[in-house]
Amino acid sequence: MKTGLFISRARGAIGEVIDLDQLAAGYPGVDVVKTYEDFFDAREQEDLVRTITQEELDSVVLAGNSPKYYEDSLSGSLFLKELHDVGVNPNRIAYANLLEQIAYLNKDDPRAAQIKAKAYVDIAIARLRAAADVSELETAPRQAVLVIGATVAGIVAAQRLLQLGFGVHLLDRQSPPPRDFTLYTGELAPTVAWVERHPGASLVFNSEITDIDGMDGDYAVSYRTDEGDSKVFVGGIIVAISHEHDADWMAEIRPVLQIDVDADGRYRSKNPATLPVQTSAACIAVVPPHIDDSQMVRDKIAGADSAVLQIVTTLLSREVRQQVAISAVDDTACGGCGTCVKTCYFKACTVDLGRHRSVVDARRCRGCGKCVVACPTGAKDLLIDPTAAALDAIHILADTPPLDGVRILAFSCSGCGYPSLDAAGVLTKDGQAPGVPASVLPLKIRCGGRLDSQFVLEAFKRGFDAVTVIRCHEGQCHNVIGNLDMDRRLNLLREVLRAQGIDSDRLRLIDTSTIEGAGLAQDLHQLVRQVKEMRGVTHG
Amino acid sequence: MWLQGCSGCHISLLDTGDAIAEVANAANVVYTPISDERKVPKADIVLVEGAVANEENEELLTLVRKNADTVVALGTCACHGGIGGLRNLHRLDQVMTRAFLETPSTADGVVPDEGVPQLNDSVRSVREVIDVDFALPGCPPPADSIARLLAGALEGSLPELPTHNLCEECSRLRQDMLLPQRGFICDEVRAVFELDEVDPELCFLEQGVLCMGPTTQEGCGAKCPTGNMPCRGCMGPTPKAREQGCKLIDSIASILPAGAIMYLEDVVGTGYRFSLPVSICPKPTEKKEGKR
Repeated sequence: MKTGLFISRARGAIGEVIDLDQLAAGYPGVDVVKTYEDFFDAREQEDLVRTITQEELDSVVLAGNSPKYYEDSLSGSLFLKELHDVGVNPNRIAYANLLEQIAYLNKDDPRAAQIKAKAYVDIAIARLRAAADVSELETAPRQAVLVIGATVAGIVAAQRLLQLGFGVHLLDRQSPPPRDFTLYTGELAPTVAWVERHPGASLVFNSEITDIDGMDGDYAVSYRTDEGDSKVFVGGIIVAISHEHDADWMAEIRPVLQIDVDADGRYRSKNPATLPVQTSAACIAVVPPHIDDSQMVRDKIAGADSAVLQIVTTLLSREVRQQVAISAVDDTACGGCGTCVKTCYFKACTVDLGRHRSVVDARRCRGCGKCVVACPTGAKDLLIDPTAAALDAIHILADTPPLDGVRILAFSCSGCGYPSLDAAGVLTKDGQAPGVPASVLPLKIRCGGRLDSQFVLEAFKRGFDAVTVIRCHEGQCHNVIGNLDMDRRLNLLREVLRAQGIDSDRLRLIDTSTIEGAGLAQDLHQLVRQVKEMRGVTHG
Repeated sequence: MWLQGCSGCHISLLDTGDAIAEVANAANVVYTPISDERKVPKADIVLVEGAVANEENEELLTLVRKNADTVVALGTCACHGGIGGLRNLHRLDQVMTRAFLETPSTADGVVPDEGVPQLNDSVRSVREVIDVDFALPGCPPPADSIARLLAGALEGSLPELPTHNLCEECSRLRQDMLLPQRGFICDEVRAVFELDEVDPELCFLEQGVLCMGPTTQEGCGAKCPTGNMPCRGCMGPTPKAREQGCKLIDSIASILPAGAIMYLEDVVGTGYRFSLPVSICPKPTEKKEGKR
């Protein structure tokens, strides 16, 4: 392994709080250590890629901005693709979130920020060591799109797609004609007629979607009508139904379509600011984000345009790749008990009856990690969030000196907890949130369902005063039931803690969402006060 | 060698029948717990039964490691700490008070402190104290496994142990467990005696009976499930699982109604019955606070 540690000053935002020269000097063993003014400066980015190529690096730590800059942004993900093309496997990129979660959250405590910066770079480097390369499924994208809902947005999206040469399957559970009156009486009437007459379009009414599986570029959609069961194959999916009119339908298809929701059960995009119609899958879009009757027709059309552009951008590429998030099942451990089968919400786990072994369908797998935790023999690992890396991180954080009298490990789910901490950082920078005490040490995990009870025990063994899990509100888990299963596990684990003489109150849950950063910061302040009281540490 | 154990592993050793006769033909038995030998002699191979619970156990074990070429941890106590390891749930003074002063049969009890080895603060498995060359779990290990071990040792090669969970060997039928539809596999959790009728063919979990099979290493031939009783987990965790109790929690929480488990079962006693000392849980001495 040849590793590059790249550090960003973030145009001073990080450099003002953390002494980055001192940080960089702490890694004499790393092959290349380089500090940049800004990761998103075009010339510096070029230099970064050139350095990776010239030095033949195969693993990279990006110490600077939150991973969301790469994972929740179109250009960020294209940058990752570029790194992949120069020889860095996607799983060999690790982040140290110096900006949002250290420089912003702990801006008034430079000593703590310096210690934390070192710890989180250590964690990133340890993660590179623990992580295996991930493989990718490749598919030539199908040139057809499923549009759900014969609404204004649905009809307009269909029209755009047909005109661009894509096949369109338009599904609605109601009877024809298309439900929105304006479609027939208003200026959109010609559009409806054009779509209905187009040879590339198939309109199916009175239908019920029974199953969707697959990956970006290649989805198999099963549906049922009075005439029986049918299946269509498409490259992407546009959901064009509104929460107001079709809340129950939305709730039904949400789990199979990776659609996240907010507290009202409304669709929540991957990044409301920059990717308003995108879900966590590039080829699944929801339009418009907040469709309702008061909305202007032009807004619905603009939303449809965005969705079409987003999906077509991917479908026009020669191949679409999807990471295989989960390791192969270890045949020397798996006894085919079926626990993973009953645990998986997405029907990705099955037991091969001939071989008596569990198999994971990578096309259905969402990489939530729940089956990895549930597997009683440890026969699988979540490659994108490996067990060894989590344990390393727990050990590294346990070895940091107490920054504020106590040490609290804060597992943060990548759906809500971690982004909410990012949001708390940004709000703190803007003076709208009180920061987060330095004693709270966040550790990103894939999902609440990824939280292995052994992680919690390990944390207590290593001397953390408290462990908290920052996660999505009930019913909003990105993996639908990851949170639910975590709750069930932790309820049982509390029994173990109590029996072991560990106050089960030292294990806390905090519910949050990406728009509740300020509330989260306050909750964490309160948590630290309570933990100090519990542990007999005087307020400092 | 017999440390803190019940001698069950030695009984199982005697159960090997012909195998032990062959050993007696081919090798000298230089030490047994019932012989008069006081010193730990040099030996090619030593089988150690039991966990390390007191200062004498520790001393003997250190000598064994020094004097033997091959050390075998025989049985679950030696491998994982065993039943006796459950005392790690309590501080030593609580254990002594309970055992010598508080039991109903105690009259004028005293905590012995002279002429007996002093108990350590916590029970440890043999593997936590010394490196072993081979570990054969089981409470007790099945006689045929011991026979294979002895036969191998005579030929100079130790056998390979199976590494799956017990479901690998269990012939009970799994139906709902293999159906890719998320959900609990039963409505409630019951003890075996609460079932009107135990289906002798169907997976215990599917009948609502908590079975440790999934979290337990294979190697016993699934004797209990075959005998119409659920697995209690005596073989300990599978090699890749770090510990048994957590794995029980993490695996059953989504397949059995968790609320019912909490109400009905002693989660700690069930999950850690045979392996508490090797759990990640801090040992009593590592805890800052006592049991409430």
